[in-house]
Amino acid sequence: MPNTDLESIAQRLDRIEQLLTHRPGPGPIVDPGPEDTVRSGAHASAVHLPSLPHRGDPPPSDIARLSRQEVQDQLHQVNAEVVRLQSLGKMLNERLGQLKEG
Amino acid sequence: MSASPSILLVGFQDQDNLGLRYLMSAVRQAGFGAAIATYQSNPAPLVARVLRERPEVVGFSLIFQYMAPDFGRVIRALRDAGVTAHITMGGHYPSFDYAEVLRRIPEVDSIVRFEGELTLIELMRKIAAGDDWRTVQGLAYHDEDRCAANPLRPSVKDLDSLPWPDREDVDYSVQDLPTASMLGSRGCPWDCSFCSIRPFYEAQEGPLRRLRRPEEVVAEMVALYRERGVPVFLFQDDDFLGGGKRARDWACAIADGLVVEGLAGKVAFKVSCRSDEIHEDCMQRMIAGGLTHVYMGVENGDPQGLLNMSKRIKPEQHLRAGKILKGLGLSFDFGFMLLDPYSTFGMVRNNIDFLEEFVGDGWSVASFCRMLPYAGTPVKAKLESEGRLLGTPFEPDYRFLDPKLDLFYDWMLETFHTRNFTSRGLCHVLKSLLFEARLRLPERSGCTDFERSYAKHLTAVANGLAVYTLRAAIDHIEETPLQDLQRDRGFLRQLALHEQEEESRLMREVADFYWSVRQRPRDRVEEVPDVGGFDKSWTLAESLAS
Repeated sequence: MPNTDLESIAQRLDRIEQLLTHRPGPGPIVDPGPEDTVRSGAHASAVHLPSLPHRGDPPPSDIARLSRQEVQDQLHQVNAEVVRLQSLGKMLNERLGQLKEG
Repeated sequence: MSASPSILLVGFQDQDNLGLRYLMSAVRQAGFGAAIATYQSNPAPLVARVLRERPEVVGFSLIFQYMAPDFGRVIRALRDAGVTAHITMGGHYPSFDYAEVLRRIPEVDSIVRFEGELTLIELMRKIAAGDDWRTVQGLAYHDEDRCAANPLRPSVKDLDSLPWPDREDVDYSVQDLPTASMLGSRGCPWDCSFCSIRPFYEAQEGPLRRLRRPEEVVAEMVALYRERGVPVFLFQDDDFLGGGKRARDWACAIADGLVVEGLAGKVAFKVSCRSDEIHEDCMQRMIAGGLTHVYMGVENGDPQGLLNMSKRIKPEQHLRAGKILKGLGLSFDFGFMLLDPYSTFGMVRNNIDFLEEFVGDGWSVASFCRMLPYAGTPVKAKLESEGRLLGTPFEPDYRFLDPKLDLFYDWMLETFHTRNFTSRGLCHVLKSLLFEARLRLPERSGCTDFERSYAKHLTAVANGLAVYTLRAAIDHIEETPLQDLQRDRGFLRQLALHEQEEESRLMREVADFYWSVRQRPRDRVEEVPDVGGFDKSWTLAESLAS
């Protein structure tokens, strides 16, 4: 009896461990680029639309362990992406405004 | 052209070098042979040509002060090769600093000071007749162990009395976008502290700005369009709209003349002016005639900085001008000096904030430099009187009042040099891109609204990155003691690397976009080659093709 219980517990622990350590298969690392804002359907210009940042690094697991220089470097990278995204946002908002005006 | 020209004019050929071409047409009209050679640092081709053609006079056009030593080397090579022709030199720098040039380049026989057409003709006549050329008005020369300068001659009263600049040897047909320079006037009425234009024309005691007749300007443009196939014109006037309503009426008369000639929509032109000269009604009339681009001398975005520069303008006027031009859909560029000899940290900060407000949207490219004390400028005289003028006569320098600003400037120059000052840098490429994207020539501009919008986005990113980097640097430098800054440059080095990395990434996107618009072969997308600092061509396409 005790053995059965132990096996059962061991199996449950294995399943939990599997769940906890499960890594999903390859999926989208970054969001896809926005659609062509000029017109729907294929348009040569669509290839020019920027994709969202490719710097898909996750946040540091332990900022406390980064050196001052490493933190500064991360900050520069984040700020550069902010600049890019803000500009992209403005461009899309301008286009949205044009579309709303008809 | 004469097989054996009497004078060989040597200079850069950027944007046609109208200074040289006006000289060439003037001496040719006076009956002398003349030809133009493009200046090169390698003296061999010039030496060979001079030995082959044996001109009586070789005339150098020195535009850039810092190039004087290089010119000296080439001139020395001519003499070493046995050239005995009379060697003369002209241009802004030698006009002001003639004694220094004669002393440092003793192989030069004479210097034609200030406006050169009449002085050069008289020099040619004296030499042809075997008379003493040292009596020519407006000339400087060696007189035994000293430098002598004759009294200056009055400036040319009627610019239309001069023949049109000689463009015979320019092959516009090979240019991707045939572009010619034009001059509708000479001089500027303003007295900005960093500029030598007013002192240059004031020296001859004539009017501060002389205008050609609008019909003459239009006739020259019509001829270039119909006979040479040139649709794009770059007016090199010091200040196209300088002089109040009279100047605006004159500018509009040129635009109206182009409409009357049936060139509206077929030609496009660019002018340079101050931001307080931008009036919407005038701009609209000029657009009707083909105005496509405006270069504005903005120079500073801080009230005290503008006061120090004697600009007689407020930052709000710059912003207002930008708003008008953007509203009209006009492409524009601007000059900007982030630092000047009297800068403080607060002024630099204000300038960075101004850049963000002015062109943070990416309508125009934010490039920046510091003020340089060129020969003939009031600021050079002021620094000299304060005992702050350093460097050499050819390469003048100064220290800022706060030594930490020197550290900031040195870092800034190193970090942004490629971006701001080279033909492979982001600024040059983006300026070309924006110019072409907004070019008001239906037959030539194939950009869609989306592509214009995307070019603006790329520029906004370039501007935003620069503003971020400059702010991060100025914050760090201001809050860190000088001794610490001198000991540890880690942060600044890292910031510079980051900026350059982002620029490289952006440059790849810009080049890719540019060529996809142009539908050029993809294998040319990879890299923008370095074509040197003095591109004859000014569009990216030409740079890449060369």
